[in-house]
Amino acid sequence: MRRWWRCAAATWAHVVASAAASGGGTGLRALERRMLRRRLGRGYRWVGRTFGWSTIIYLIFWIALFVVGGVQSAAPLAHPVGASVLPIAIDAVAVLALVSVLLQRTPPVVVGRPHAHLLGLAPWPARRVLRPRLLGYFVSRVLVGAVVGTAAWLLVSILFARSAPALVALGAALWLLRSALALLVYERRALAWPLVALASLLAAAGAASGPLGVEQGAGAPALAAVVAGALALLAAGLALAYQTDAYPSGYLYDASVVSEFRSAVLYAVMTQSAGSLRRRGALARGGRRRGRRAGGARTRLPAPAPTAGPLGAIGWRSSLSLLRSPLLMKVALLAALGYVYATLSAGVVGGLPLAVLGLAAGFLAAWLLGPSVEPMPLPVDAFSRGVGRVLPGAMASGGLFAVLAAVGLNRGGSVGTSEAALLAFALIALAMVTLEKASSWLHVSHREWTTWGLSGLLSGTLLWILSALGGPGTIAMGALGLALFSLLLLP
Amino acid sequence: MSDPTTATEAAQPGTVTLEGVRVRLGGEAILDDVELTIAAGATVLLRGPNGAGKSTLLRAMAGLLPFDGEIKLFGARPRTLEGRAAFAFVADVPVLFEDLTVREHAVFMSRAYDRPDAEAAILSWLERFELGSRLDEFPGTHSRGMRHKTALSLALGVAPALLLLDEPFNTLDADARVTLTGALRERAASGTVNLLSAHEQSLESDLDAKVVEVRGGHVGARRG
Repeated sequence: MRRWWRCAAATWAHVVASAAASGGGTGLRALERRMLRRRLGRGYRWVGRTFGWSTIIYLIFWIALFVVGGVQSAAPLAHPVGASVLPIAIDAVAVLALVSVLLQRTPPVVVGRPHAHLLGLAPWPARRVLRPRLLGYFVSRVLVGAVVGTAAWLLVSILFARSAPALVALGAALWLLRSALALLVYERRALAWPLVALASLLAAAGAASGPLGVEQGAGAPALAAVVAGALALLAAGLALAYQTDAYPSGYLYDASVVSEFRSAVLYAVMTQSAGSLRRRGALARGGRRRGRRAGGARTRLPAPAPTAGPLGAIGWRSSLSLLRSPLLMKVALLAALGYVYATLSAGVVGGLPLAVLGLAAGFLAAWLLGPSVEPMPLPVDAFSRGVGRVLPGAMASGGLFAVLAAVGLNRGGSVGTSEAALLAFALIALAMVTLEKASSWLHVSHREWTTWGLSGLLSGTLLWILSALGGPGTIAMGALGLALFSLLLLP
Repeated sequence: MSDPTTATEAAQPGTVTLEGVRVRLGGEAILDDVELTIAAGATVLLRGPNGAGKSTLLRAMAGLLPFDGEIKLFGARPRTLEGRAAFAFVADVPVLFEDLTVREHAVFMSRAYDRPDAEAAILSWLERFELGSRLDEFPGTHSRGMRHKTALSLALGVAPALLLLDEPFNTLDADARVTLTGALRERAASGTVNLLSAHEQSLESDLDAKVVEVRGGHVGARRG
């Protein structure tokens, strides 16, 4: 603490001296530089502490080796790469989705010198001050995504001589819906609705093109699968749109430091801008839909028996959390789960697509998993915590898969309906358990993309490895065994 | 009458003991070589200037901060299940679950602590803190004082053997202060332990508390 104050005092002295010397601009630039340096330093230390830089360098070395080896061993093209614009565009926006997640900030700006001036000194709404930055953010994202997407499309086409239309459409619609809903929050409805329409078209096109990793045009999909795919995309978008996470703590810390220097006015405006821009729309929508007065409960669930213990308490809270999620999000989650089932029933039970599907499972697990009990120091053992958080979501997804299998939905692959249902359940359950453990051990929210991404990739990879041992039944039983083992024995 | 807080007594069953506790944060020692023993039925008041280490001490005892040395809560370490079942902690900024209403907090906490009768007790404390009409609201819509009352009701309702309170009187209105003072006196009379940090001089006599001075990371001379 003392060190922090010494640092703050030194910075303040520097700011005052610079401001006196040059009319204020230099001092604020110094502040901005200091904020960014501190942010970078914190990130660097976090990575070093969490993973270890030597480990990362070691992994990068091997990944680079594998990539070079993979490129060198790539088979020649089975057919020439088509010059169609549509797949390029689809892939481009798909990668945009990834970039969008990676660069996520709310609001997506770093407050620079002019904005600090305007925020702190002018009686303007924060949104008006930040508008140029927000527009710049959207445009730059589109450009970066287009470049990276085109490169990715070329690589995939050259290396595998095939496209993954359903996957890229999933990403495309996800990004478009997210952007559209973000624009709705910023009251730009004229732009938002065309984006929603485009997302729906992409969703339908992707679902009609074939499942993950299957060559384009290989088999006509069932209408149900098209609908499931479209709804899945809507699901992902809505899930992202309903994110009302608090403003990044690191930024608030920076904002507080600046406020110490600038004034209480600056702090008030920045705090207002911090949480309100994105949250305002979601809260307004939620309030109107619920038709209730502020603060009141809208969904109730019978309390567990008084003797239910910690397992009952956490299971009850997880169920309540699922029930209280917005109706559209519930529909979206069910549709996305249906999409996972449909993809698996089409015969994607091994290989790289399964690992990719794991990522989708991780994303879904983030919304199915019950909330954490942290940071309250409660007397809850690891088993109760894990089972209580995982069970309600797992049961909901299991029920849906059972219904889909009973209806007999199949995309014509070699996998039977019951096997596909079991496999889908195993994938989701494993992703949920992995996510629960990862978030508990790392003390990170399970809805942080780093956590669910890591858990999803791990789950998909585990299924991929299991696919070497046998068919869908073996994979599913192996995955369920792993999930059960983790729940019972891991802390 | 024997003094309920000493720095030298050997650990006894039914006591809270800290031996050579040292907390370092960011490479800096916040607490250094803290020795403290608290007997059953005691109310101990941590007092000291801002930044002295009072909150750090309470957080370390709640197992929320890493520390060197030994902390035993009635024979159990704070991070074990037995240890966690022995205490309830109310931070200066109350931690509540934003997805649960106040009433649902009562349900959840009673099951989490595996104390079936705690739900009714928590609801009773909420009534006493004049939150009876706000039970079906989410704490996110409440003021800081109301959140503090909710957190205190939860902690008092589960009736732990040790209650750790970080500046509990700061945000309370006059009625609530009287209610909390009475509650802490009742708890001490029943043989449970209260450990709280506060700045008010009058609390020493109001609570019949023993004062432990915390200064510069050291637990110093004791008064009272």
